Amino acid sequence: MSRGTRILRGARAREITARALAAVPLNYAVTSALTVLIARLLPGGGAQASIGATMLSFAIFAGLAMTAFAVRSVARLWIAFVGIALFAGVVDWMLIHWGGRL
Amino acid sequence: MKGGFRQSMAWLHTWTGLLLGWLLFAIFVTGTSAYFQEEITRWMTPEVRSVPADPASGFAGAVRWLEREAPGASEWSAYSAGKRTAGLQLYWVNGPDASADAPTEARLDGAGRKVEARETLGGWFLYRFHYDLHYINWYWARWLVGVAAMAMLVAILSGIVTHKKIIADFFLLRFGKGQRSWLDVHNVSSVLFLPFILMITYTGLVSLATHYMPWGVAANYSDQAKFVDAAFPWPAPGERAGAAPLVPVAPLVERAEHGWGVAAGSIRILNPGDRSARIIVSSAPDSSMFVRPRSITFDGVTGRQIDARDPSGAATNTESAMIGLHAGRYANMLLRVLYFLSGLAGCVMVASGLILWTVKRRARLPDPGRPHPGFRLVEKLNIAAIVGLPFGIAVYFLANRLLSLGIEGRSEQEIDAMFIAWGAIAVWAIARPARRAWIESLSAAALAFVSVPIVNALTTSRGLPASLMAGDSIFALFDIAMLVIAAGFCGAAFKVAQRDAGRAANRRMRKASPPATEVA
Amino acid sequence: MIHILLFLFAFLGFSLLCLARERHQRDLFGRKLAASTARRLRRGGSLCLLLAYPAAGSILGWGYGAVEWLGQLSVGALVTVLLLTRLSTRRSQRPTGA
Repeated sequence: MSRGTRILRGARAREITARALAAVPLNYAVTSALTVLIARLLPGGGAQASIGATMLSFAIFAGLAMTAFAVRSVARLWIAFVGIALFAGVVDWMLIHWGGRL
Repeated sequence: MKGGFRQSMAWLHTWTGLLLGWLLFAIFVTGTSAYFQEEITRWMTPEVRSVPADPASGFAGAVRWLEREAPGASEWSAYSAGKRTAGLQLYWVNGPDASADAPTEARLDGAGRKVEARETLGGWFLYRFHYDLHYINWYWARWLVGVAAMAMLVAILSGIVTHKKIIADFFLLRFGKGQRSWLDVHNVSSVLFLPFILMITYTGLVSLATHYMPWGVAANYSDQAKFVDAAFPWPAPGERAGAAPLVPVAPLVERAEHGWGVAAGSIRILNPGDRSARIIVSSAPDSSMFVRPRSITFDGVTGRQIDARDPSGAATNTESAMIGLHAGRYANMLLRVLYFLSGLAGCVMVASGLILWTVKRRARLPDPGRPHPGFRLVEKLNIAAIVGLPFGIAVYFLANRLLSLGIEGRSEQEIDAMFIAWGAIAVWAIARPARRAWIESLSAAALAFVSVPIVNALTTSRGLPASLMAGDSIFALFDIAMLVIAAGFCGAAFKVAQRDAGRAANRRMRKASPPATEVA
Repeated sequence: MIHILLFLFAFLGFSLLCLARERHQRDLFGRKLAASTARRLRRGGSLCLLLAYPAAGSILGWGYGAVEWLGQLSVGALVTVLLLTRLSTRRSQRPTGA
């Protein structure tokens, strides 16, 4: 195997790993933060909002997982996911801190 | 990703499908069998001849039995297994003066007598396996199954996006064309049954939703117990207040059924024999697509209605309908057959996808005689997964008939037999060259399935000839199904052997002809 | 009854949709049909499939009916595919001068 091939093969493996990490564990964090947000915002009382948000979470996770492999730039992907997770996480914390839980 | 959107989705489809395909096949096979789990259990307990009973008299019989056998209990409950089985499953919570190892459950047949049958988990084991697996702690098993289900969802969605000619290729099913044929089978089984497959995957995730995503609940509740109490209240026995006779249960059940317009599915009696007794009658979960039941609470001494509960709320009802759709207990026999066929299509989809991967890759191998280890691994795993589990299930049925009754841990041994058989196929697949292993294991599966009705006839009085003559449709159809499956495996073994012989003949012809003609 | 009717709706609908496709027209008739015919076949097929739902829903209930409708569509499509495969292979095996 030439050095060039080795480098290319390594680059592809690194790209796939980066996308997989975004598509699974990072995705779980993003989806969880979004699910909490939706659960805080849905109407109908605590139980209905929690159940509704939980049911939606699987569609969100699947969609984000596919996005992780569809977008061109891995760097932008990570920045976007981390950004969403942080933003949603902060809003979640504020909503729970000021709204309280049952 | 490089290569464009559709290509990256195709790549994702291939890898999510391949890596989780073997587990998904097991989930689909056992899950599909679960649509007939009651029938399988009946076949596996041939001693039981059920007596049809209406719910009210069934529950009254259960209460009489419990008054005799568990008089000091703080709580009794009786559950009907559904419209397709007579008989009730009883549970009770023993009072403080009972010994620690006193029984807490029993099964009664339709006439109120305790069922005496061989110890077996029957079709229920296969149903439970499809989400709890076995030998693994249920917590991790459900996570594994959940990962597989999410991979399935991603595979479905990426498969839809990838298949640009989804309408153009809709009707094509070409046989005998190698890779093209396997792709056609994969397309037909997945596209034609897409509504079911998408539904079953998503509702499967929803069925265990809080196991995977507890944060939606944590967002609004500081304690999961508070959520369960709010969403699915479960009254507990109150303070005891002095002895008083329990009011007859049958009229209350009938009153509840009359009010709902559907059958009752279970009763719970809190503090029976006490002034504080409560009788909670719930509707049958299989009476509608909404699996969460309605319930009415009666005073246990006067029979007066105290409370009525109807699950309400858009999210609750959506969840209730999703679980109901997944389990399909509400379905009548025709719809149940459609569910079963759709499940089979799902199995064909997964299996053909796994095989397609090897067929495609084999064509691209630099040296087909010596494939790389990854390819060989997939080939062997395919055989172990696709033939191993069905073979194991046939052996599970055989063990049910062949293991002696009354031995200790009999039901566990039946299950062990299934996994030992499955493991044997896996070992065989590793030891033998792939092509031979396919033919040999497919033949073994055919043999195992054809043995089931034979062993049934030899070891019980309810063999196929007897059940046909007696009009015993469940036993007859089960045995016939075994024969049909055996024929299927036999046919598959023949096909593979034919293709193998054809390829071998081609190879011989090419070797025999002079090398000069090989040059194009 | 309704169950047989639903299957027939599904089978007919998919058969018409199938016949509207050029490739299958060539396989079955040996020639391409007129574009207007194809359009009519396509519309008729879609209509058949869609009308099956109100038929199912009015008799079985809208929820139950929806589930059985989709199940019957799948089976109807499958039978169409199997029949098409059978007829296409038989035709291509016939020793015609085509």
